[in-house]
Amino acid sequence: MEGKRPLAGSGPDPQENGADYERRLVRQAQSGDTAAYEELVRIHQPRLLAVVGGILRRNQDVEDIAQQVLVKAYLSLKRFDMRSAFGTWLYKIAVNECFDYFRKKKVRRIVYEADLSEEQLRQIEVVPAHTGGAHRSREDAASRTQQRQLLDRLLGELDDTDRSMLVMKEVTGFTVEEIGKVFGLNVNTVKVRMFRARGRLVEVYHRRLERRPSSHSRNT
Amino acid sequence: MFSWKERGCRKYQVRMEDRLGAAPEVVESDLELTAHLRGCAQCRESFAAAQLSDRLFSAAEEPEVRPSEAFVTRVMASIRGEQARLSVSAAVWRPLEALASRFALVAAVVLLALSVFLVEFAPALRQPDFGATTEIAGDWPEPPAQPATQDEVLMSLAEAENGI
Repeated sequence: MEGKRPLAGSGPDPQENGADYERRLVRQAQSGDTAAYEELVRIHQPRLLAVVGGILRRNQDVEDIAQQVLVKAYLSLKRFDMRSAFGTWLYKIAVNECFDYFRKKKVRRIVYEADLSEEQLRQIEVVPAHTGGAHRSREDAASRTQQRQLLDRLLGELDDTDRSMLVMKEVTGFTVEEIGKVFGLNVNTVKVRMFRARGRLVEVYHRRLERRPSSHSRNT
Repeated sequence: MFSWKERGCRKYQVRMEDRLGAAPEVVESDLELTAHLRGCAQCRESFAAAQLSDRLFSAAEEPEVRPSEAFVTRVMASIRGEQARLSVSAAVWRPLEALASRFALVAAVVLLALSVFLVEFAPALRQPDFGATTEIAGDWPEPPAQPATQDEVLMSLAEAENGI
């Protein structure tokens, strides 16, 4: 497991798999062992930040929200009955916390309503199929940043659940099964929702494109 | 205008979602899906759109989030802070809780004493006063004594005739 640091006197056993180790940490944390919880934080930190960052779209509050999630999870850890994986439970809290954030701040529309530039719209069209990140050169970094900004704006037009599902699948690498557990939906429903959300994403793109006379001739 | 709502066939949407990002030959190996796409313009269009969104996500590859020890430290400090805050708040409420429990105990004792008092003494206070009946009876004239002998009977008849 990434970033694992053995706990004082209770590191992972050689035969213990990741899930067992995590369950043991959760039990220890439930009985008040903060070092065990610290280890859980260390394990889930990168993915949690990616999920929250993905949903909030690089908002400056990402770390604060992730921190709130981890504090909230710790304070309600005794109520966690281990029927699901700790991660699933944690990401469920994270998604709800992000939705609460949007409800409280009502920032989404304000932040993402800005129109896309024509150049940004054009860039969608030129993205080649099956482009793997691993083979891209450093010169692509600027272009990737622009693509991310563009994606942020398009995602900002989707509803919170659809956006979260797509981000979890495409950005954070969750499986459809994991997403289903987090949202309490069956696998096929998740797939259909994501498929339709992708369509809406492209619909936003087309809508923007239609507003620009010079871009009328372009098509997917 | 490209309108997305409820378009496409649900059954094939699941399969198309599964095939996103796959090479064309992989998609073509799903003969049923390929046949459906050939015959259903809506699904063909929606699959193309979904593939475009897939390419967009690939192009906008997110930077990897690196584990940060500072973040872990901040989280744990925040947890300790929260625990301290909760224990302070518990310390504020604890005397009130003790007071409330004592008050409840005193109230229970008072209620018990009151109910014992009511059971033991109140029936006696509320009992009907049978002595009052005697007093009322005392206000009425005594009925005339019944004549005991024949002479007395004759005497009483004579008295009645004389209007005595």
